[in-house]
Amino acid sequence: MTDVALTAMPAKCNTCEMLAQAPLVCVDCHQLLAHVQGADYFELFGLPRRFDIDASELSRKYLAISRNIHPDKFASAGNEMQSFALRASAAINKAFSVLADAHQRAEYLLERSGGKSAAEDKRVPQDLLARVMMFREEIEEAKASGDRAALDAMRGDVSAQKRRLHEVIAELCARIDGGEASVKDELRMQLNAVKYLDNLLAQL
Amino acid sequence: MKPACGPAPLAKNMSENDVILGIDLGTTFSLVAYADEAGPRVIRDDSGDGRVPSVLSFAPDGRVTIGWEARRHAVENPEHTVYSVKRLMGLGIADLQKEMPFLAFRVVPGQRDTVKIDINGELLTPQEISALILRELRNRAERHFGRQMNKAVITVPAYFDDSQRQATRDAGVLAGLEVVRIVNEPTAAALAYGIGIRRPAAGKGAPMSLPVGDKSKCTGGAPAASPGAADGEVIAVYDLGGGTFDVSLLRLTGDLFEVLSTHGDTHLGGDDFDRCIISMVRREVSQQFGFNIDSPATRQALRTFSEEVKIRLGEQDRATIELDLGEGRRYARTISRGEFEAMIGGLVDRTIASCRQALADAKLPPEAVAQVVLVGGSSRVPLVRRRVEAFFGRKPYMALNPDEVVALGAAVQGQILSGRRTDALLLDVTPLSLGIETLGGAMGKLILRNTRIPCQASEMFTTFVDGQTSVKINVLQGERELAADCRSLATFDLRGIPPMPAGIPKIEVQFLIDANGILNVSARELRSGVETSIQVIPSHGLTRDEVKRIEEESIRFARQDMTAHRLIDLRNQVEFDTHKTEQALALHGHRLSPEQRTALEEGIRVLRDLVKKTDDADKLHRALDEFGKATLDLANLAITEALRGEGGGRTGKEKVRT
Repeated sequence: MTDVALTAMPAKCNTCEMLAQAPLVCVDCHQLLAHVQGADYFELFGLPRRFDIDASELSRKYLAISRNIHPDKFASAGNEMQSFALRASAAINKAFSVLADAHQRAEYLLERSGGKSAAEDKRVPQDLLARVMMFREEIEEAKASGDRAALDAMRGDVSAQKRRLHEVIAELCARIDGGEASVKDELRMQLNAVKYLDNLLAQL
Repeated sequence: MKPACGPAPLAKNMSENDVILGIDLGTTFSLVAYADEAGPRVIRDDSGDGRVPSVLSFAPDGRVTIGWEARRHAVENPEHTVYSVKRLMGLGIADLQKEMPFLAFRVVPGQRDTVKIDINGELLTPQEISALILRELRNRAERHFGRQMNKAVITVPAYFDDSQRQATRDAGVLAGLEVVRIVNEPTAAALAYGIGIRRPAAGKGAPMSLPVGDKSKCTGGAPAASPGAADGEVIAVYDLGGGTFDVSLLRLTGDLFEVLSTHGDTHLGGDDFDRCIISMVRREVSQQFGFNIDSPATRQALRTFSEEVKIRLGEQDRATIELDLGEGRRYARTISRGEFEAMIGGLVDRTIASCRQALADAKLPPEAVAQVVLVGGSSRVPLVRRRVEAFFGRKPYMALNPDEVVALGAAVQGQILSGRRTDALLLDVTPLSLGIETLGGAMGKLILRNTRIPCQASEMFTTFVDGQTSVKINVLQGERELAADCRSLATFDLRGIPPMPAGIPKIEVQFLIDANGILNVSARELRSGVETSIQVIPSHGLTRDEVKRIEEESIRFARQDMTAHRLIDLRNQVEFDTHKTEQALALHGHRLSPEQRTALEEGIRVLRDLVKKTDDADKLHRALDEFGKATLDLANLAITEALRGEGGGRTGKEKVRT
């Protein structure tokens, strides 16, 4: 049921409109739940499916939906309705947390376009490992000698690299709808690379 | 897809009177509150006190006294007085090793990894003890409303794990309450703070007509955010109670309360400050006189006066401790505020470390916090206030009564859940990561801490043996890497898997944390589509069957609550109390002022008179309560009595002064 509904999803989804605007009362909750749980996250919030999103618009829509489906609003409703509100809220919370985070958002776009998961494809850009190794040594040296200035500089450096990676990722995400395997593979590698930089930042 | 939705009222069958109580089930004090159009308020006793001490005294005939009365008789009746039971909720005996030396009542291992409290050979779970406190609060509310009350929101420390939350909910069930929601204490406090600084509830169905700061921000059909001086401001709630500590960071936008992160310690509170003093006295007595003071009566007496010393040191620079241990052995010392602060410094440091962690998890610097709200009785300790102020770089907000704010917030949440406050929305988080034990004993995290609730995660499992029809899953909570270092919530035994060759079944298990922060698990075998049944074996709590059994048993006890019986109990109580008071007057009366003596003698006469004249149990109960309060000073004198004879049972002139 959901598959059909998903592939034929209108640009502006009635359910989402309704979620955002009116309290949920006596809807066909099973159908609605199936929709919320299976829906495309962007669709759910009525946002265009792309990497660059308006964060404030996302959180506004998230809150508008939450106001209508949060379990607090159904405390005196029947069990079925309560269970629906619970599951729908959990699904909305999940969708929001993924879209609100740039990295998870890119991962999600990749997943939805049929790209490989991090577990399936662990490759990273060629020069990355060497760079990371070098950084690690420098971090250890700086830590050993208590060189705070050097650590600060490195933190700035790694953060800047991460920002550049995000630009690359944004650019790849913009091209992902073309369906080219090379774009997806490249995106997978860059996303893997971010994890390495995050680990470095954690050490700093 | 045609959702037939209209603007029908949310709760059709809700009567106007369907009030949901807000209950703060505290380590030291418990309170009950409710909210109406005029705002939230605490239900008080006749003397205006909203607090019910979370202390229970069990008489040999099985009668239970709860509250001030029990607290006063704690020293005379140390082994049958139970206090701070919140610190035992959802824990096993191994968790309580540090706790034991300070408890005057007996704690023994229960089923699985749980504990029971031994009262004259009768074993009670912490849930049952808490249920008695809840019942007392419920009675108070019923007297106030003049009718039955059976729905409540109960608060718990934000850092309570699943077992502790379940235990609290089970206590509510045993008290005959429908626990509509378990709410985190700091979140409740924030709710009371946020609502309090703004306005009372809009009446039922009233339009949200308040001016909005910037309407242009609200598009997409979002209900307008309401005023709020500083929209989107982040507040920190620092909640240091009798036994637990929490810090939560929240963003307040109009009537929206978003918890960003929370951290805490469910075994850190005012009790631990008292214990610093107790340990010091024990150590020094043992050094000076070569013996240990450690009878149940002493534990109870030391507890009582250490608390007083602590409170005194909050007001003045030094306090005196004097113990006459008999045979001319006198322990005396003054303790300065500085010394006390040096003793508790490490504990306060731990709370600050929690604040730092909460900020890190919310990715905020301390300067981002616009307001620090202090909650919990122990936030009155001057060192705590100074350290909190220094850490956040701003004076904490102290206009709220730290004892009452949590109950008030719970009442507001009750109002939201009853559908009578439709504007406010509370979004909370789960305090601890949730995961499963994986092969090799590692903790495989499925839901990270500070994830907004409700939330869900699913995981696939399969079988290892041909024809295997059940799978056991050990569900964990905690932040450590190894399963052994995390807390086991329960073993979920998935049953009814259709027999298949090993590795073929695909069992999808869904972990759903609800708005109470409590885990719900469901499972399905995907190849066959069979819903597997799940038997939950809680590691530190009661099974559903156990709760049901206790509930059935308690119906027997509940009958005893019926008026006739209650009246008999109350009359016996009057006889007992007046007699006890006369005895105490004879022994210690000379230390009271003549006015105090006369007042007490008059009180005894009035009470005995009332017993003859009235059949009104409530009236008698109130009179007894009043009388109990009047005897407070006398009871304090009796505390000192308990220390007489320590050190080999020899008698001597005793004196404890603080």
